Amino acid sequence: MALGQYHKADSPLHRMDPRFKILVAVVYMLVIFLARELVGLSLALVFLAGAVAASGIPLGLLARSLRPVIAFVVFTFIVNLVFITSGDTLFALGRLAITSGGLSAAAFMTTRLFTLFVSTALLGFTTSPVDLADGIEGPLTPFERFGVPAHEISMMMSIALRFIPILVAEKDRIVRAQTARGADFESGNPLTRMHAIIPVLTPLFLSAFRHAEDLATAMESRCYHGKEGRTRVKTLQPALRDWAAVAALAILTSALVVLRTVP
Amino acid sequence: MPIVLEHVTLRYPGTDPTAHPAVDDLSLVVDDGEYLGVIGHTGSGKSTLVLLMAGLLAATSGRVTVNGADLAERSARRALRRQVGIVFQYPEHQLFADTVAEDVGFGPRALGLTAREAERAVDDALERVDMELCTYGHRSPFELSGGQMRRVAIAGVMATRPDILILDEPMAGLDPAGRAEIAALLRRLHDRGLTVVMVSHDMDDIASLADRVLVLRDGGCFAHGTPAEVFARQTELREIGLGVPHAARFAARLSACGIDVGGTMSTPEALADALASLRTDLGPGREA
Ligand SMILES: Nc1ncnc2c1ncn2[C@@H]1O[C@H](COP(=O)(O)OP(=O)(O)OP(=O)(O)O)[C@@H](O)[C@H]1O
Ligand SMILES: [Mg+2]
Repeated sequence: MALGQYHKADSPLHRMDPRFKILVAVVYMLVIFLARELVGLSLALVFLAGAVAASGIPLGLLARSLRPVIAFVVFTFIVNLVFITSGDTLFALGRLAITSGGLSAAAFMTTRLFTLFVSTALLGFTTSPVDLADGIEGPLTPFERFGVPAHEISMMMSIALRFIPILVAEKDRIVRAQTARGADFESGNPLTRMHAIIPVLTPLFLSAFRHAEDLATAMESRCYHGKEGRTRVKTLQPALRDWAAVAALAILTSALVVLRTVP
Repeated sequence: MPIVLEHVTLRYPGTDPTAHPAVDDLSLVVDDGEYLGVIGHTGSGKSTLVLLMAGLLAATSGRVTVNGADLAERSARRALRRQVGIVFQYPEHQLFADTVAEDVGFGPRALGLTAREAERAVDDALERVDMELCTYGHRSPFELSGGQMRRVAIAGVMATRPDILILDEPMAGLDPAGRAEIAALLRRLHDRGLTVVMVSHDMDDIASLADRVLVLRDGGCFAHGTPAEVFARQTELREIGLGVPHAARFAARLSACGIDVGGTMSTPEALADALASLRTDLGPGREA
């Protein structure tokens, strides 16, 4: 997934207050499910297209980040197409029938999935790990009263995100080293392939622990002791664009709600 | 001739096309049994060059030939795994098995050797790095010292019996004793006829081990020759941010003081010899 793959740039979406950005993204992902017909879904897509345009992320990069989920999307499409039977039969092969209802359900489901993935990718591309953590800590803070460790959660998230690219690079290095020793990761049946992964996984885990230990030492030696008494370098301040995004989302939501009441 | 590079260029995909490529129009021949030292500032393309030679990266343009096989073909790059061993920086970080013997045996097993052949290869490789199978074979690689772990990792590479060994900063992060161990090991392997390519930031290591030195600068060849030839260009090397061996610096200081030791000495031994002969030149009369 694109989380942790921050793409540094200067765009309205990059500059957004992360708290607002996360909130808008999460609400948007929920709101998509209100869209039941073509008009609603198109509106949701227009909103997303606007966000993509405002993100300054090259389309190629966005498309590449979606590659890993293509199989999943295709699978969803086929399952919906085959198992939902309603409306006219368009095509039949023995007991297998493709119906207009199935086709539209499949199309809707895949489009929804697509919007979910694109919005997550956009969030990941335009929000640095630090911002992401800040953006999560803010909305969680009120829940500290009920025992939610907001600061710890956000610190954990930011560390995890920070380490994804490091571990990916580490994995590449180890794969290369074992390949040079004759390891084969590309051929063989699934079982031998699973087996082939051990020489990569073991060193990778060891290196993850090594990093964790180093980081813990580094944090402790700089007197990190959790949230108490910590101040921020950057205090978040919502700007006009943040409220604009919220307004756009509110309009989209009410449009979708209204559309649902229209028979 | 084991390694031949002809106008090889490598540009990492997705990098700035206006900047110079990681390896830029490099031509080079490494002879059989040669010990080539590769030096250059950070980001000069040393690691990239080494990956090209090992067939782990394909050149963007130009030709890399190893033992007569053109590495442009995927099958040639795969076949190369047996002939070329590559030791990456911190090779001990790629150890994974429960015992030293099992880890060293990974390469031979992956290449499809029988259990018996594999065991022989392990025995051989461990003996070459001075870590006998009977003493260390059953131990966990993770309880060894840093220098020992590194030797085991090198054995893991040697176990596939390559005739070319490539090392990327093999001494990095070791204490002086560990460095000396690895240096002695490399010298021994080279004396047995192995072709060695070694990347290092330590000029003294390069001077004492290598037959020839390649200096990279921004992906291109800045200098290529014997250590004495290369390290004679002290001022130029300093300009591109590189040092020279202590012995060479000392020789330069001496000649600045008017004591001509006769050329550049890149190892302490050579310098000592030169100084000793200087003493005899001056004649016994001065000795008293
Ligand atoms: N995987 C990669 N993708 C993109 N660029 C890379 C990659 N690896 C290296 N580079 C770039 O290629 C150039 C050469 O890198 P290389 O690692 O070969 O240098 P090096 O001489 O080994 O440096 P060092 O002394 O730091 O190890 C550098 O500018 C580096 O940023
Ligand atoms: Mg390097």
